[in-house]
Amino acid sequence: MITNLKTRKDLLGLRELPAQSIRSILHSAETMKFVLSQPIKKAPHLMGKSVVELFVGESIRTKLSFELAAQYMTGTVSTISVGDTTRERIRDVVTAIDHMGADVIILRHPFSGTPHMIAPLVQASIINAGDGINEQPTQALVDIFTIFQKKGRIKGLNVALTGDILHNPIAHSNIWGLLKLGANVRVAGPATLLPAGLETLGVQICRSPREAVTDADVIMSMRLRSDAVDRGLVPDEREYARCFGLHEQELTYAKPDVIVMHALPVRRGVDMSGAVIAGPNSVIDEQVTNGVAIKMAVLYMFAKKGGFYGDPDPEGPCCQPEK
Amino acid sequence: MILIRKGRVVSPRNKLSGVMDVLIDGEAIVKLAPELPQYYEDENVRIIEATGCIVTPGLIDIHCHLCEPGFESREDIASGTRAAVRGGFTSIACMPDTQPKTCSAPSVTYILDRARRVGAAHVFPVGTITRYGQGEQLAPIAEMKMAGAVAVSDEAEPTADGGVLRNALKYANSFKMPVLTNCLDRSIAATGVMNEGLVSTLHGLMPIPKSAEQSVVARNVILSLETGCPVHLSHISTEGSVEIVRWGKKMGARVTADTCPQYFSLTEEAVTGYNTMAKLDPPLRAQADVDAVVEGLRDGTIDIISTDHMPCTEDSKIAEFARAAYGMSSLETALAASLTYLYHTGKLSMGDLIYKMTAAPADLLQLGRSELREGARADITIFDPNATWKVRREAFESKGKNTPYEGMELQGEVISTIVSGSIRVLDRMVMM
Repeated sequence: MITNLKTRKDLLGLRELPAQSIRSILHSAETMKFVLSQPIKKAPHLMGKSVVELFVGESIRTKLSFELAAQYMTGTVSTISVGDTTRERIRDVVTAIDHMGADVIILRHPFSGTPHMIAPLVQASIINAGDGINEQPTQALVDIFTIFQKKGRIKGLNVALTGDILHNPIAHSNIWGLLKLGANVRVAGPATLLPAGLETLGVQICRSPREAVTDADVIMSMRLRSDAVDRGLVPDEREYARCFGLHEQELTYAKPDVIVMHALPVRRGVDMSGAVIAGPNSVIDEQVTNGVAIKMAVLYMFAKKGGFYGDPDPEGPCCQPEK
Repeated sequence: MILIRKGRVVSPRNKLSGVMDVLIDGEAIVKLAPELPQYYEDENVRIIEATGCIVTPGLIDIHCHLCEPGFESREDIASGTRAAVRGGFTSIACMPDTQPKTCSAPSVTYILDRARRVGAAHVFPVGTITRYGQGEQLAPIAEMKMAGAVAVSDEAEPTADGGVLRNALKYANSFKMPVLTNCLDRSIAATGVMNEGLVSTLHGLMPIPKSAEQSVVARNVILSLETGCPVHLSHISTEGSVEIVRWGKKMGARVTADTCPQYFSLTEEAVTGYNTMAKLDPPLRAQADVDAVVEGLRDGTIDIISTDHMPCTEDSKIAEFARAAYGMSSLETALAASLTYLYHTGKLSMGDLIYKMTAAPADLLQLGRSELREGARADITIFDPNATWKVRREAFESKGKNTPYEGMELQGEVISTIVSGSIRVLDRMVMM
């Protein structure tokens, strides 16, 4: 069942990434996490490799964690941040970076599908670090890795996503990835912030966070888009927080060992209450650490020009054969 | 003189169907009979062999974008009319979304003048409904009609204000000026870029709900019912729209509607992989909508097949999906796509199909009878209904190479097009 592993050049999204490849990345991240925990954080995997980050729009953690991941693995890393690309076409910019010898281009862009458009035009591997509202595959891999580390499995877990599902690329990537790995996915959020057709994929649409988190093993809170109020999608943040935010009260309906996740930046008191963020079930800080490990794994596997390094250990612990 | 020999004449208006010879002298058809052997050896007669082909009145498109003046990098009147005749259209009505907008008598005159000089087909300008197309006050509808405009349309910017449109319908009706309405509520469509559904969700693209079209279709039908004035609904694409128009007609509203081949041949699946060539306005819909549009064409709810030919520059299509331009270059594929998806599938008879591309549009724009008979103007389209060909965008006459049909096989190919007795396309080659 190893599909396309040797030829996959780009990481565009979890929708198109086979379950087997997701498992391989998770497996590699375990090794990387070990490297991270060492007193001397240095590995040779990216020696002589060039990584360029091109971020159109804001980012703090994603940008820094990719940068650190590349440096921990002895790669050359450069970062370009631009506010907007209306002056120059993005494909011209990326093509130029490609011609400068980049092996990996990490791209964040405000429009869905931009990495998909660019990937066939360049030799470098394109890593999607967020394309509009479409996908943010590396963050979802972080989330799935964190769940896997905490629960030891993905299959059969009840995972509840609450909040703004429509505008959140992390939510989309998580849904595609979790469904592939056999989790039961439920979503709850204002009807104005739920995308169409999810139920046909087997996602359970819940009326309230309480319904979604009942018997949940995992709760992921999704950040409310900052202009949702101005665009008339929700009345105000107070009501949103009350009806769709996560509070300690909701957690009592979940399984006792539920883990609560947020990809940051969190809107304190809107997405979830301060008590939940700091509470015993929260694994938000661990997600941040895992963020670097996953990015190291992803860079390692996609840094070889023209191909994914493939599956380091097909029989490894994360690599149960698909049904 | 030109003799079209042994083609199957299909002229639905006067119920003419059968293998006939057609003799053209000057701008008119002078003889139409099963056989005209006396001209076969005549040196002064140019013979077009049409055995196995269909000979019909020249096709009429009520809805295309020629982009001149203002956007000549996309299309101009010369290239647009060449594309028209290549696709079998002898008369085309061009939308007012030019720069400046076609919103006054001089701008109408300009287009007519350019078309007379460089046009390969008859061009009929369509003006704006409102002043400068801004949706607030009425445009000089009567003056534009006197200058030669055949209709008014809010194609560039849908009239959001129902009161303005209501007045426009009444005012235009007093001058017998057809009003073509672009049914889109921008407040509902918001930032959407494709049809709402699983495909939009899977691609993370902001959705356009069907209600953005349907609510305006409903409003316009009701305005027509109340005022008794005719209204035409352009390029309807959803199951709901078809149902509303069907209801309106049953209630006696003077509504007419058109759709385009893309809406009965393709679904939103064509967008898969962020294919900007399939980014259209209105967006491609779901299979149920395609089926409903076909049913609407069958039962007469949808009167006309138009092209909504919208050429785009290469650059504007090779872009991020949300930033890419809307539209497809469709004059050269409309007939073939209609034949492939309506006639060859047995959904529509040849007569009904041709009626919706000749007589029905002629009625809407008051362009005459659009039929083949002795004495009629020699606007004639000859096509081989069975020839299959592969769509290759670089072969388009249009400047717009944007087509979601690229590489697809279509069945039905235009062989020759004659405009006012002049051969514009001969054996698949444009002669201008």
